[in-house]
Amino acid sequence: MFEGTVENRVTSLTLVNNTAKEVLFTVPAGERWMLISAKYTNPDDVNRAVTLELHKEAAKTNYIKKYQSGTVNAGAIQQYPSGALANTTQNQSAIPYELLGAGNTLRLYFAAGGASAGGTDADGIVITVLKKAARGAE
Amino acid sequence: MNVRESCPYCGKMTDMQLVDGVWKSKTCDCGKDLAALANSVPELIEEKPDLKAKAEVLP
Repeated sequence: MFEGTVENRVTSLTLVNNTAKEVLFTVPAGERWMLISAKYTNPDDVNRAVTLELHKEAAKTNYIKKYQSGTVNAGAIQQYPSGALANTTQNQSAIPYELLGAGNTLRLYFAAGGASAGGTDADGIVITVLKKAARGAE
Repeated sequence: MNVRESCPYCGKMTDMQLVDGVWKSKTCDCGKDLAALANSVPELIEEKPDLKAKAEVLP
């Protein structure tokens, strides 16, 4: 189960005044990822509603599931899985070790939060995965 | 490229680039430099414990 390479996909994040932000992480061809955790920061000076979800492909044609959504306060951090109870029935509570196939795409969406100064964080998003080689035709 | 971000100017998804182990913004196809944009907004300073501060004495 734990064969593979642990990777921390550190990503800088910049939010600007009253503008939504979307960041996509797509599993490359020939790989499978076991999703271990996701951490994301709100570097803005206003609260932002943030959603972490999974799509079948990079074009986001097919929506698979929502992992987590909620308000992240200004300057605060949220992480998945958190161990906290899901606050809506559409959220997936802490069930780690999700296996993602090639093409599957994690989508992190920061909704616009109103007038703000914006902000940036050099490690605003960290997606931790166990990278595995794809096996056979998928 | 497997990490992309939305461009705040044109709204389209644009590739990010891996620099020294960190995925960072680059110039969008619309011509806007998103890395420069990152330098134009305040940087988040995460709070860290002050290890030199005196320990608080509980009442």
